[in-house]
Amino acid sequence: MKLQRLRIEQFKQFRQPLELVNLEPGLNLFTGPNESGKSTIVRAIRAAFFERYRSSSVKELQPWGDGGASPCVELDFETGGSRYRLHKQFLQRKRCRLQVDALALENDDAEQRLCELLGFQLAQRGESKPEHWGIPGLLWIEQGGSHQIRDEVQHATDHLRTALQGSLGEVASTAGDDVLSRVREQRNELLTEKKGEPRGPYLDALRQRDELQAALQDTQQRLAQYREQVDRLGQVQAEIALDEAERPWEPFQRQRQEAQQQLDALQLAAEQLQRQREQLAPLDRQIALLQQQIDAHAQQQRALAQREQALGAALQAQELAAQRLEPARRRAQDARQAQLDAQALLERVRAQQWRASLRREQDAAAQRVRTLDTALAEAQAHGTELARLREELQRQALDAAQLKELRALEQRWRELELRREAAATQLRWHFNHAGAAPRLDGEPLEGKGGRLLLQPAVLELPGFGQVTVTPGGADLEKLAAQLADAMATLEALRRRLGVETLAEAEARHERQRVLAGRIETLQALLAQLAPRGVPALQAERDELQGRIAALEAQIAALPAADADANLPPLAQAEQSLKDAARQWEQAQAAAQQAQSALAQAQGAVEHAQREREALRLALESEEARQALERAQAERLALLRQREDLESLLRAKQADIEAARPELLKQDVLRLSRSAEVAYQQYQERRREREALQIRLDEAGAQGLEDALATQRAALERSQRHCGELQRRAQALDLLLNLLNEKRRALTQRLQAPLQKHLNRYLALLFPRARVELDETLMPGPLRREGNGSLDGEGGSFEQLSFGAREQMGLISRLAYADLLKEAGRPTLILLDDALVHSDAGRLAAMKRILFDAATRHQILVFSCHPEAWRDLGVAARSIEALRRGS
Amino acid sequence: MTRFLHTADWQIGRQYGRFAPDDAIPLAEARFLTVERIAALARERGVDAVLVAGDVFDAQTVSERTLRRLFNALAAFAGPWVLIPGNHDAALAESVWTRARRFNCIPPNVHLIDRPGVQAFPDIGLAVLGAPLTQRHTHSDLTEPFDTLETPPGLLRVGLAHGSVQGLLAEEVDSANPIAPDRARRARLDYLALGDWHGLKQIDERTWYSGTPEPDRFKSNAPGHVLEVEITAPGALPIVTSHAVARFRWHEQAEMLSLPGDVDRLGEALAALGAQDVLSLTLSGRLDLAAHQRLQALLGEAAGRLRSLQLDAEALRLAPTEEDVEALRADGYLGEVLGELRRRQEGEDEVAREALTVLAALLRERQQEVNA
Repeated sequence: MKLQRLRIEQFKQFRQPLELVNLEPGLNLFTGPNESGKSTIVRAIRAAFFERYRSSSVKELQPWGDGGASPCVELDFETGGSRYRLHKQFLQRKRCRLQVDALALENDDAEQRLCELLGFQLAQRGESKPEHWGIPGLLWIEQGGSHQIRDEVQHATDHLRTALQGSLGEVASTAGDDVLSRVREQRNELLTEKKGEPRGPYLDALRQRDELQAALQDTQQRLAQYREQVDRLGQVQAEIALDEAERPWEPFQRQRQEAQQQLDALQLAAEQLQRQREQLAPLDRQIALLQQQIDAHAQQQRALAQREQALGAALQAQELAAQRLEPARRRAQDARQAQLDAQALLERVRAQQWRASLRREQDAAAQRVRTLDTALAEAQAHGTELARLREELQRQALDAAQLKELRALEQRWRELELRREAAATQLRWHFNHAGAAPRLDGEPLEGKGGRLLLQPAVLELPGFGQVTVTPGGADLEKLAAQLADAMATLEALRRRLGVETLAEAEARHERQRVLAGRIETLQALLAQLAPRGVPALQAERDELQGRIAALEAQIAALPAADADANLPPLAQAEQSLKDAARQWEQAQAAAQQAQSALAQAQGAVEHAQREREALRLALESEEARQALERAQAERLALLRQREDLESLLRAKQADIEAARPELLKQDVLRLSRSAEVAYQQYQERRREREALQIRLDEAGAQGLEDALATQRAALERSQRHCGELQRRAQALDLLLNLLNEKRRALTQRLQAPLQKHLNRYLALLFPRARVELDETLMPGPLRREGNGSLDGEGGSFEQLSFGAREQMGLISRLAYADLLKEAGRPTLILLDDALVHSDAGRLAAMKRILFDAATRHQILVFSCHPEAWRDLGVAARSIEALRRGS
Repeated sequence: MTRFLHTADWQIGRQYGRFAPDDAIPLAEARFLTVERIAALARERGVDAVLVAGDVFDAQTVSERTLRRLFNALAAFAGPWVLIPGNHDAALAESVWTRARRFNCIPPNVHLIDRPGVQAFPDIGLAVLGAPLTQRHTHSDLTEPFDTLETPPGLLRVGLAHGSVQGLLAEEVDSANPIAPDRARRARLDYLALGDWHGLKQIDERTWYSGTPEPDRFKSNAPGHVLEVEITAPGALPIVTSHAVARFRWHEQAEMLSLPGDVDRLGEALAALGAQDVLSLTLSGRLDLAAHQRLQALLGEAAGRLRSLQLDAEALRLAPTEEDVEALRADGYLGEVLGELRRRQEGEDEVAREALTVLAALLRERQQEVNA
């Protein structure tokens, strides 16, 4: 396809018409800065083909602010040996006209024709969208879009396929994908998609088969059971018949009866024996009674001997007790005497103790009296001193306040004195001749001296007359008055206090202080000697004196002191008395005991004599002797009788035992049980027969064999059905695999031409690299020879670098264009500011590629970097120049 | 002179598992109808008795209804029916017979010989020596006592037994319930009526298998008959006549199809069959798509017309011709897949054959859609 002329009017920024003419069949380079209108030209070409002339949603095509404009594009191009002129006008005057050689098509027809020619679709309504653009969408690269390719390829796939198939003839299948999808659908109804396991009706059939199998097994089992029971019934019936014919329990019953009869006879004999045995007991009782009589007699004999002995012993004991009595009495008397002695001694010891105690008290009182006398004398001396001191203190009394007043008055007086002297007229003289001495107020003045004049004075200078000196100022007189006043006050105080001077007053005050301290000391001493006062002390002494006298009288009243000084201590004497008293008590008790023992012994002797006498009289009677003899004779007779009876019983018992009654009993039991068991077995069999018949009757009614046959048939059918489904599933699986496999192989074959073109460009751009196309004709990962690795992490197109994607995007498009060209389809390639991310090396390679491609296709390159395309081999046309030119 | 019918192996209650339920029920039903026809035949022919040599019932536990229906089916003939149990209905402690007795449904003119011994019918000059099976299988010859069993003088000695005559029935050499081949002679029998073998078969001049009166399998050994036996006097040779009583004819057929004409010939053969026929058809060979399609139509039609059609076409190959493939418009890779499948099915690959059928059907279907 060759675009020859382009004219646009009232189109976006071109309010005025712009016309591009004389376009080259190969490369065409248009340059201009941004905003110069490059993209508008591209937009115009797109709009001419893609946008419907009657679309009302293309207002953006109008120049800005010109709502009444009719954007218009007119294109002249040639393809497939025909010349085309397309005139399309939008919005205000909607129109589309396509002139094909001599044929003119209008509006929808014209647009339809364009679609078929270039391979795209028209939007049903509204603006045209990328999914409609088909092949032009792929080949006309928008600004900044060359690195994207996936969507564009997808939208063009059908057209590309058609082109590919066109070049390959009828190898491709028209119905293939439809059949493939039907097979997949059918297969997936029977098998799971991933694992190919049974599902849906196939799975249901398998389950049903398993259920039938289980049911069949169950029925088989029940039938087997049924047959077993039938067999068992036959056996039981035979056994019952045998039982009824032989009646095995009857012989046992007969044998049992015989054994029972024998046993009954033995029982009778044993009872007889028992009755005879019972006669033994009274016999034994009689013998025992007689024996008792004999024994009683012997017993009495022994008792008499014992009584004799007892009497002897009692007599002996009486004698012994009598002997013991006298010494005991003696010992009691001695003990009494010892006790009395100890009592007397104790009293002496106690008297001596009392006297010593009184003496001690007396001595202590005398001592105290002496002490009190000393203290009394001392206290009286202190009292005298204290009175004296107090009297002195009274005299000397001059307290601190008076002293202070005196001091103050003295001070005032001196101050006044000093002030007067300061105010007085000072008179100094120095006479150095021995003549008559001048006189001052009558007082002669000699030698050197001086005087203060406090009042007018007269100085008589012998030979000269007299000088009257009068001190100046009234103060002097006032001071003199004050001084006299102060002196008078001072003097008055001195008189009141009775002191001449201050020093004397001070001395008296000091003396007063000393006296006070001394008085205090003496008072303390006195308090210690006589806390309650001296009279109390005196009273105490007098009382003690009285006490001493009383004690003396007490001592004198006591008996005279023992001459023997060797008396034991009190405690010892008391203990001796206690011991003596106890001994006396014991001896007294012993004596009484001996007395009562003797009395008892005498009683015992009397009792023993009475008893012995009584027994002796009884035993020695005639009656007693005869009774004994009779009893002995009778007993012997009875003993013989019993012996005879016992030997008879033994013989009979031996007879019974020889017949083994316990075995006979067991026989009866055994035989009766045997009969019972045999009969029970028979009954048991009859019951089992009943039970079996009932059970079989029930089971028979269930028609087990019918059911089995039915189930078997159903299972057989189910198995057949499963087999069919299995074969069908396998067949579908196989078919699907084959179809997929063949389709893949075919796709690869189909893509071979496209691959060839792609390889051609790839060799120029990435030497020794390979790119495979996937099923959607999309370039796959870039494989570089040598390292064998894929470019980009996952190796897919999207993971290549931006620049590489841009270059790959462009060469892929060129390859598609080659393919389309071979299929006889029109190709026109538009590049709007493409390859801006390519480095110099890659850009150079891309220029070679473009130059090569331009030998087969018309390529319009729009760029705002004219310098980058200088070596493209064509002259750049400046858009601005074109605008100016128009 | 005494005349009686000899029949056996009624197998009442038999289930036809291999058949679809639609077919199985009429086939089972037919056995009752055949018994009714036997009764009618007996009355029509005016025979003195009917002897049934075992396997009256197919199983011990047939339903009560089945039991009653069987005895009802005998009603048309009022003379004596003499029955023995066979291996399927052996006289066990609990058996179809004990149950029939409990249900009280055995008519008085039916004489069951369920213990070995003689049953005499003096009024018709007949003494029947019965050898009933009292176990499912025995390995001793139950007819041996016939040799020593005495019968009232002047009556015919007719044996009634169920088992396999030794040495004559090749297929059942080791089978249970043996019967000595010369039993009739050794036991001085006038006739020995046998059951167990389902085909009509004469063993010697006095010994016969009547076979089952209604076929139940695809064995072409002349089933579907009863025998009418006439014996003029003790010691005289019996005159045996067979009567066909079967309702359904069972056929087994194997066809090798390779040419389109073979399908046509098969069509003609099928056309000769009707509602009385049960056919087991085994097909092999190879057919192109067109012939295969015609075959399918033919078989569909026959399946609707025949009582039952059992088809085994496992060995039949689908061999699409180039024209077929072209007609299917299997272009592109579909053609390749078709070719691959055709190759594979030659190697006995059943899955490939099925896959081929599926694919062909899909393509045909698609084509019809396109045409429509």
